[in-house]
Amino acid sequence: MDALDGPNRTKWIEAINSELMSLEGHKTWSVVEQEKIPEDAQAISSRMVLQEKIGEDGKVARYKARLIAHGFQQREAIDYSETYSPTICFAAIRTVLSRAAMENKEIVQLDIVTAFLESKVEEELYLRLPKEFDLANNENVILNSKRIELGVSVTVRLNRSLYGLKQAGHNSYNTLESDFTKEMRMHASKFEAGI
Amino acid sequence: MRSTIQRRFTIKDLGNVKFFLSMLVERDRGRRIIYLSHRVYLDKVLKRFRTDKYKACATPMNVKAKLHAKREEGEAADKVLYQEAVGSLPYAAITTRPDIAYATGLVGPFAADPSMLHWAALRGFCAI
Repeated sequence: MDALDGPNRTKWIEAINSELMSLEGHKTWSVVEQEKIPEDAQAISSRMVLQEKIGEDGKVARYKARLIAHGFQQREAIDYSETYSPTICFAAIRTVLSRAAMENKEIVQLDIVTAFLESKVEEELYLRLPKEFDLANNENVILNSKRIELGVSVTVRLNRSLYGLKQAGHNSYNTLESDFTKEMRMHASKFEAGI
Repeated sequence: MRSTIQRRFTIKDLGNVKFFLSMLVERDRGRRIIYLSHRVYLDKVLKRFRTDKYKACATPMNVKAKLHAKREEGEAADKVLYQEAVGSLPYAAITTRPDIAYATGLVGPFAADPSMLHWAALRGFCAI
């Protein structure tokens, strides 16, 4: 990974660590021993994607690391089935904004941190973690509160939906939709699923 | 509301809306007007295709420009770069820049086999 050899190495390592904390915090996976992985399961590989996030001033606002599963290795009907997830149309955004302008209402913005990790994954999926995990804490790679030996490729069983999975967007929308309905009594519009 | 969501999800409160989907939102509460723009997104696109040094132009496309398939004229252009440039435009065209929508549609069909003439037309109206 080239970014890790560059001048911003510390920032990237910080970003990777923060991503690991999120993943661990959500109990995204369970470490499984190689022998316990069923023979017909095909572990999906993954990669740590590093990205400079551009802010409203056009400058780099944040260094971000995200663990992405190689969803293209998933087998249809075995590793995933439904993948549909709605996308809001721009006219709907304009409509909401113009209502707020007209009625002089506040418009606040919220971001759900690591939203994809909020939903459980139904399929039995195994993931091979990338080697960048070694770099994260130098020596302290801790998964499920167990110290992991460096330089060993680790395979985990996924409990949560992960970025890059075929079904990630679908799972995420369903979780948001059902939890907003159940716990916040907010309903998705019949005409525009994004509202 | 915020706290109800917070009870279920970890959220980052971004305060009053000002920037989302790489779109800038500016409000004039007094006049009850909201201004939307994709300035940041477009600057990024212009820089990427090295058109940021071009002067802004009043019309997106020369009305007299006639574009043809490459085999008839012009030297071949970098196809992938052309496709990437063409592909960056619809997002702006369908959101805050409907003025470039027509021109965007005109340069698209040559994506399979672009010439330098097509590239020039694209760059010309990209200098928005």
